[in-house]
Amino acid sequence: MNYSIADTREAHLSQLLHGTAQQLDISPDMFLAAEQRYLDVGKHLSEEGVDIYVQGSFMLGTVISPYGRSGEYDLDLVCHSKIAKTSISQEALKYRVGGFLEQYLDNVDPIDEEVPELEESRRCWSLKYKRFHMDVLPAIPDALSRSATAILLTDKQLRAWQQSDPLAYVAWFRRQCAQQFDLERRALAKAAAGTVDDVPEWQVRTPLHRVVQILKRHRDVYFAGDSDARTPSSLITTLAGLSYGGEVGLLEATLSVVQRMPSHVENRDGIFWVENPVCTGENFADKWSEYPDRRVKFVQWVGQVEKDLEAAVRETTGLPAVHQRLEKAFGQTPVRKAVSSIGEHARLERERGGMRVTTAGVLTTGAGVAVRDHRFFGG
Amino acid sequence: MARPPRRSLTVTRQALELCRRYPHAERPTVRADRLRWIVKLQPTPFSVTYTVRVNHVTGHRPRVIIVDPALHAPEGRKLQHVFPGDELCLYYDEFDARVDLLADTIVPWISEWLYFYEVWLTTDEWHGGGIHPTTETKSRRRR
Repeated sequence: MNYSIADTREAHLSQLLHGTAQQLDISPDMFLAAEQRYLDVGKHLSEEGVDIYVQGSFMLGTVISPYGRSGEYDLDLVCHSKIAKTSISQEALKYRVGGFLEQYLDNVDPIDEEVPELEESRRCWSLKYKRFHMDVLPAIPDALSRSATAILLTDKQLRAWQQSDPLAYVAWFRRQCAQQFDLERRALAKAAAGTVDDVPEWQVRTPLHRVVQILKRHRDVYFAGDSDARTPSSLITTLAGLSYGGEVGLLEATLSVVQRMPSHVENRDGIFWVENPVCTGENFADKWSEYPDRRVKFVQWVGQVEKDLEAAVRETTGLPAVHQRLEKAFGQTPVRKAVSSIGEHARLERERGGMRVTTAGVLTTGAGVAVRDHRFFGG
Repeated sequence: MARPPRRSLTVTRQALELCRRYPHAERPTVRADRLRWIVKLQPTPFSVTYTVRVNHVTGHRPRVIIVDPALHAPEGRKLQHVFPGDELCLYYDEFDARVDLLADTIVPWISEWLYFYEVWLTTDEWHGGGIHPTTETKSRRRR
């Protein structure tokens, strides 16, 4: 992040949004704990001849910390068996994978003295750990697709196999911010004094990644009392990817995205449709036919994001009032931590000799009188 | 390195530099060895504009008071880095009234103090750095 001292309202708000998104990012400890458990499950499954890989927000780099006490991180895995569709039924595949996971749990060496519980849901098996759960989706190759990574998924409520292509989706998302992705990855490589290839792609966060994190958190807070109506993350991520226009500042990027998002919802003969950009025929908005009020609430929510940000930009009663608006929209903890972090960086800038002040007294790293380093004194 | 001995900066010279650096502010009033100045400062584009009074007597510590809006501490908390009377404590020994211009030191530090005050209102943490007085710092502090 650019930690120069923001001397315009837009830059200041972008900095606050960026800091908030950084606070929402998964902590390195939590990431390692999840990775360690995933690799352990993966090792067992590979002995059974199936591959396992990460998909969803962990892979995309749009994962955020859960909101509220009951929230958990959700790590999505694909469990890929190289079996022809004609050789196995959905049910048989599901129970084959379930069996492998049962065996795993029978023989697992507990990590941090923790053995997860196994639960079945509609499309996957869930391994429930203390602070997160791992959803394991049984899958087979989709031989009829032109994509080498296309897969077929089981679904207890549907007779037909469900098509999906999570790896192509990740590649699509990265294409939506290709230029920024390249820049950020280079910047990370430079900061670590390594090469671009040393930086894992899932570690890169472009403004589009940050916009998705910001929107997901706003959604979590907005729908806290109405969680069934929450706009799903897949829908937010897809609409944001379709709407992103390469903006660099997070305020501008978020506002542009929310303003354009509704226009990417198609109406196909009365059915609201947001197509999976890498899987023709998959409608991410399929639930809106069954629950029309969820689409209405989505439109209201998107409008609220815009209202909240516009009101913050126009706030006239002072900086703490801007902080309060953001706390209300995104939750107190990440916003306060972001404010602290920005304050800390301002002090470091002064110590480095980079802080200046304009003739109106506005702190800046641009033109102005240099703020000589000093120590505040007194009680 | 020791500074070469020289005549202390006069308040007239201080006033001229304030006018030069902050041309939009009111002109300071100078009577004998006393300078009084009212300046409006806005530390960030979101901040309110603070009216600040600076009183300075040759060779002494400049006295800085926020006139409007009044400083306030949320319930159960105490303002940070102020002297009694809510006069701002802007430096330890980094300002020397004999040689340092208010325009280059005290004024930027006021803006900075106001910014860290606003951050403190939200976070209850003072991020501006500094030191709190102890017996040792009191006895060592000269100016």
